[in-house]
Amino acid sequence: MRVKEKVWTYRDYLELNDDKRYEVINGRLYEMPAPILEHQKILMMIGVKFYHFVNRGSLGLILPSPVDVILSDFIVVQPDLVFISKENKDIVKDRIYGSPDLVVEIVSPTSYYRDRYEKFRIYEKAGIKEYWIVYPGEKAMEVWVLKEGKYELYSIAGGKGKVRNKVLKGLEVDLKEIFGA
Amino acid sequence: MKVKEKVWTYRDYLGLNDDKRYEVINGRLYEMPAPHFEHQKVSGLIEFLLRGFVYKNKLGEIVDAPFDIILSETVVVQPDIVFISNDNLKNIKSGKLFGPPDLIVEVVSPSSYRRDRYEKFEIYEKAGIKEYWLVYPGEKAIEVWVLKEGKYELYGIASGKGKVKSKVLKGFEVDLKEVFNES
Repeated sequence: MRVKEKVWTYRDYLELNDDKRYEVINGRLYEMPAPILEHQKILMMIGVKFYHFVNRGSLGLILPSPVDVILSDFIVVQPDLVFISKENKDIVKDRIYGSPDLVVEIVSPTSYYRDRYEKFRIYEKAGIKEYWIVYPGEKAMEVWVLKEGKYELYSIAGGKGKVRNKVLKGLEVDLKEIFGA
Repeated sequence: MKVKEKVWTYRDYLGLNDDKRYEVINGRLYEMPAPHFEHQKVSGLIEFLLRGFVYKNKLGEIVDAPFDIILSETVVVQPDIVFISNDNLKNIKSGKLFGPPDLIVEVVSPSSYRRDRYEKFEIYEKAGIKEYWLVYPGEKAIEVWVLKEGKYELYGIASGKGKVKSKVLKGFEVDLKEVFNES
């Protein structure tokens, strides 16, 4: 939900003090409605899967939303899940200042356009190496991998099957682990 | 569901005689499972709106799947809903359409997600189909892609609530609440 007409910056965002969740995307402020149960359930399943994989290999840090990722003065996002590799750990302070290695967004009707198109372009431009998009309604997952500055569809599954990825080599996610049988 | 390993052509397809539904996409044969209730309901509602508009304005015909469209020797599709303008009705022969229709609607389901969103997207773009509607019942979203200089551009999108408009059918618009359940 777009909130107020002006060019919002990271500074303006920090001064908001009303306990609501917001994102700033290209200078526009969006309020984030609380996700529905199904969204959170899926986030949990994916989070656990990622967490174990990353911890077993001491690969870095997995964080679920809400956590602020500041990509520029005019872009503050709260992705559903982020992975920050050990090599990249300098961007982690009280918030995340810079591009995580991997971002996961779980699409809902209110976020469909933002996740699939707006954030897609933002993450691509920010050099985030891998972007997972999860569509609970269609029981589908896409893994987009950056290649020469553009996202390419690296893996996709709908209904059943597995997705592979590049950043966390060896991690495979079977749709039935996430959406149920 | 991909069926058999060989390069399938339109002729091979016609030779199939087992009462199942298939599509041939770039020489691959896919069996089409029967759609679910929600898919059919959403598809039916959109078709109802389209048909009302097209008939009232005498613009052509609206047909729904299963209806064969032969786009090339190795591409035979059965889109969920098709609009064929008066000018293109002449391309219907022996009950099939040979060549591109003016507008296609695909209602996405988990088993067709990849095919509808990526494979058919490219096929329809290449075939010069002027407008492609992708409908996502699960996300309550509709995308309208319009051909511009041979490439699809996102012309309209709505999810959760709002409206989308058509370019090919000027004046036609769909309010999401007419199509998806209120949540």
